[in-house]
Amino acid sequence: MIENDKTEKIKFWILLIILGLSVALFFYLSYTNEKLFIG
Amino acid sequence: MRRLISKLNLHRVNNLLFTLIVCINLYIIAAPLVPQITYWWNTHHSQRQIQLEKAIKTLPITNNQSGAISGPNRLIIPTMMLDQAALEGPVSNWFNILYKGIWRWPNSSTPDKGGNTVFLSHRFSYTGPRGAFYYLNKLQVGDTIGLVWNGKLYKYSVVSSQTVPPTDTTIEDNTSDAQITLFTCTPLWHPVNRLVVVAKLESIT
Repeated sequence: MIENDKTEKIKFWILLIILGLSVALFFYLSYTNEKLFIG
Repeated sequence: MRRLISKLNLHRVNNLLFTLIVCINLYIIAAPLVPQITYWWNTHHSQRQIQLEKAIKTLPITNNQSGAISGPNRLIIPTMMLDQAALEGPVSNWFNILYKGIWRWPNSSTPDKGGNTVFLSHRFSYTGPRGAFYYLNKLQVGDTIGLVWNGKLYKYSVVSSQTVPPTDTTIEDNTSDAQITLFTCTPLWHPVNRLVVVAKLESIT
């Protein structure tokens, strides 16, 4: 059970970092290439 | 932060984060296709193009007679699903005017005088005024362009569509025939050249 919790915590941090990078990529692309992202 | 994490049901939170990541990245992947999908949808499942074709046929229309056309001078291009005001303004104010839509190059002629009337616009967006010429590359030889100018309708037929370097200013030169020249930046991803469409006058109503 403790191992499970630890795994979930690691997953949580990894997912949080990936989410942050995804959001950053989204805004970067929106800023640099507004033709594609602004309708 | 650690206390907060310990209180959360991490399994559910992780599922939520995963879903968010998938959604954001799917949008990033699909975004370049959105303008083409929008265009396809508008040409196949929307009445917009048909309405604009009808508008060109049934003109001249004054501002109050139709909801489709308003403003004194407008460009109507059914192929591009465009019906937008053609703005006037000095070269010194080019930046602001182009952000508002289509600009008639002030050093060029006007439709009532004949010669070469030049219009330019941005492609910054596939909808909205600063993306008026986003679909300029969709125009093909033979397509009809309507221009409402001082209450009269000028109909033009596209005769050429070509890409030239930005240093080629001959596209702005006056001509003996009455024509309009539309140009914008190309290609979309790395706009280093100019996409130029020339259309010859067919009729005035």
